[in-house]
Amino acid sequence: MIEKHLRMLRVRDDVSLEEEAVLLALISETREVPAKTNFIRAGQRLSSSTLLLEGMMCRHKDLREGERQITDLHLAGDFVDLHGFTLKRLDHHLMTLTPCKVAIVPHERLKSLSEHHPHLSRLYWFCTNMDAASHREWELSLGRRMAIARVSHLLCELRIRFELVGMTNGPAFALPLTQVELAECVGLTPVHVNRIVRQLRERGLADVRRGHVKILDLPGLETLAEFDPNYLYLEKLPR
Amino acid sequence: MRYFFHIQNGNGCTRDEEGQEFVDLDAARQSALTGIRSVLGEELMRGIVDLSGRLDICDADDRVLLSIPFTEAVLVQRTRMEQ
Repeated sequence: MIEKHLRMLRVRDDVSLEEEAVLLALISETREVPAKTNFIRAGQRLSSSTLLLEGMMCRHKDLREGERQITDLHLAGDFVDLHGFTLKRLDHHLMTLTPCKVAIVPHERLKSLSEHHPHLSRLYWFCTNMDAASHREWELSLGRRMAIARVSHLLCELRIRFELVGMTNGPAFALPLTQVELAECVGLTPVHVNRIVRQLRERGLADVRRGHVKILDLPGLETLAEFDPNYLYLEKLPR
Repeated sequence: MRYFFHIQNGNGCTRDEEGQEFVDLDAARQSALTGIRSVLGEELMRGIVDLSGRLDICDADDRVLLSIPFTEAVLVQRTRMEQ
C-alpha cells in the first residue's frame, strides 16, 4: 500500500523491513476522495496527517478575488501534511487535483513514532525540511525566473519526482493538470502558459498536451530552466 | 460554458485546445484581457512589445464569438496627458 512512499524515502535513506512495518502500522484507515475536493481547509483543527497513496493533490492559498497560488504539488507517495502534526492547523488548503486514495495517520501514532523510533522520526523531520527546500526553489521561480523557465523548471522537477515513484515512461509522464492549474503553479495566466507550452514544443524541448508531458530535450530544458536537482536531496545518507 | 482563447500574432497561432469555463462571454473577455496583458507584460520586460496580435474567443465548435486586438488590452500613452 505504501510502496511509492517507501521508494521516495529509500532514495534518501535506508528503511529496514522492521521500520517498514512500523510505518504501515501508522495508518488507521484509507479513504477515496473525489477530484477537486478541498480535503483540508486552512485553519481547520487537525488530529491526523495524510499520506497520498494514489492521485495528485496540491497545497494552495487564495486571494479574495479568487486568484490562487498553488504552492506545491503532491504525487502518490508524498506525505502531504506531515507538518500538520506539529502545526495542528494549516495556513493553506489541501485540494485533490484528481480522484485520490489517501491514508489517514492519526497524530497520536506520529507522537508514539517520535517517542519510540528516533530514526523514522528524524526521517520524517527530513521530509518536512525537503518540503521547505522545494518551497524555496518555487519562490526563486516565482520571484525571478522568466515565464518559459518557470514552466521548464516545474517540468524538470516533476520528471524526477515521478521517476522516483516509478511513474515515468521513458521521457514521458502523465501530468493531470488543467492549464489553469498549471498557470496557478507558476504564477502566470492560462493564456501565457498556453503560449509557453507552444514555445517549448517549437523549440523541441518538451511536448505538453492533454495531461501528458514528453520531454524532448532534457539537457536543453534543464539549461533553460537553470535546473539543479540539489534541492530535491536525492542522495542516500543516514538521517 | 466553455470558451477557447486562440492567439494570433507575429509568431503564428497559439491554439487553446483545452478551454476554460466562464459564466458568460463578458467573464471570458475579462480573463482574456488579463491574459493578453500578462503576455505583453513579459514582452515589456524584454523590451520588445508586439501589439499586432489578437485573441479570438471561440466556442467548442470553433466559432469566433469575440475577437480582441491586443491594442484593446492596453492604453499606450506617448505624451503627458494634461490633467
